[in-house]
Amino acid sequence: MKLNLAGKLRTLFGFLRGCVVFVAAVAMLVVTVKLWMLLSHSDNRPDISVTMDGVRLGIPPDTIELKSDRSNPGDLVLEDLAGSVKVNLFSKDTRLVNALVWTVFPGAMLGFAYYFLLFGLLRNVCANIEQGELFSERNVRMVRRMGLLLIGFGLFNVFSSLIYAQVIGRYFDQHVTLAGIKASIHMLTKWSDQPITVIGPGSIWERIVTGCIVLLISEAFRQGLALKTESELTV
Amino acid sequence: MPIKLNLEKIMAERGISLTELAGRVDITLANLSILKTNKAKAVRFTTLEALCRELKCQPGDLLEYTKDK
Repeated sequence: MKLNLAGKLRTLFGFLRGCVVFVAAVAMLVVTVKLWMLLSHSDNRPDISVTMDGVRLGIPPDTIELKSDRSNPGDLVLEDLAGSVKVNLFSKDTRLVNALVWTVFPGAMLGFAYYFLLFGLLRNVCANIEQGELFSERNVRMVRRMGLLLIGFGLFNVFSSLIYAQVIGRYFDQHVTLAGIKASIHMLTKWSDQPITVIGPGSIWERIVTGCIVLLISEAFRQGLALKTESELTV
Repeated sequence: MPIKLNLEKIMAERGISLTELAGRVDITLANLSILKTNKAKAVRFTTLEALCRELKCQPGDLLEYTKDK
């Protein structure tokens, strides 16, 4: 029994592409409804929160004492804690909402567009392969576009993470205080801070490296097309 | 392509059509047309042998080298 892998993958990517459209539409609808509820001054406060990862809580020296039964005093020092912060997208604080709107929404829309384009390209390549067209100009172009899309979105994630941290971090610096502990929240408010926390997630670099690999594969496709053309013109 | 195939000339001398020759040498009409119009990038020895056999000629009669101008 022949496994029509290209056909099955074409169906899968078509389905995923449809899911992206559906999720984007639902997200837009939910946000619009919640916004309408907010603007109507309803007593039911909308509850959509955004979680930001890569937040560091800088601990001043000697604030929290670490002890072990084997180490000497001063051997263990707590310098910072890392985690995530959850904020309400529909907070009454317009400054917070502005900071979130200018970071969350553009990123989400571009994310939806990225997955829509990526699944579309994958679906089209699978459709061509299913029709017996593996090495063709169209497939070479589409695979190259996939590679560029992966690299482009990876680079966008790198820069947007830094920008988002600046925007949100400025809000935290200017308007947020911590109660109960004398410490400050760092979200890369200064360019000199180590950016590792924000751009450390492997998915960004993996995306860029995967994009480079896909570009190499498109080159293999191009050479395959050249060999196929030569073979077709060998009588 | 500097190497030319004088297929059309020899076919005219032998009075044989493209369709008939394609059937005799067991090549598709499309491929024979590619040969005749000098669009081919390469010719297999088996094809050359079949053409020489049916057209009763030597490979040198079919193949001609011309310098690109």
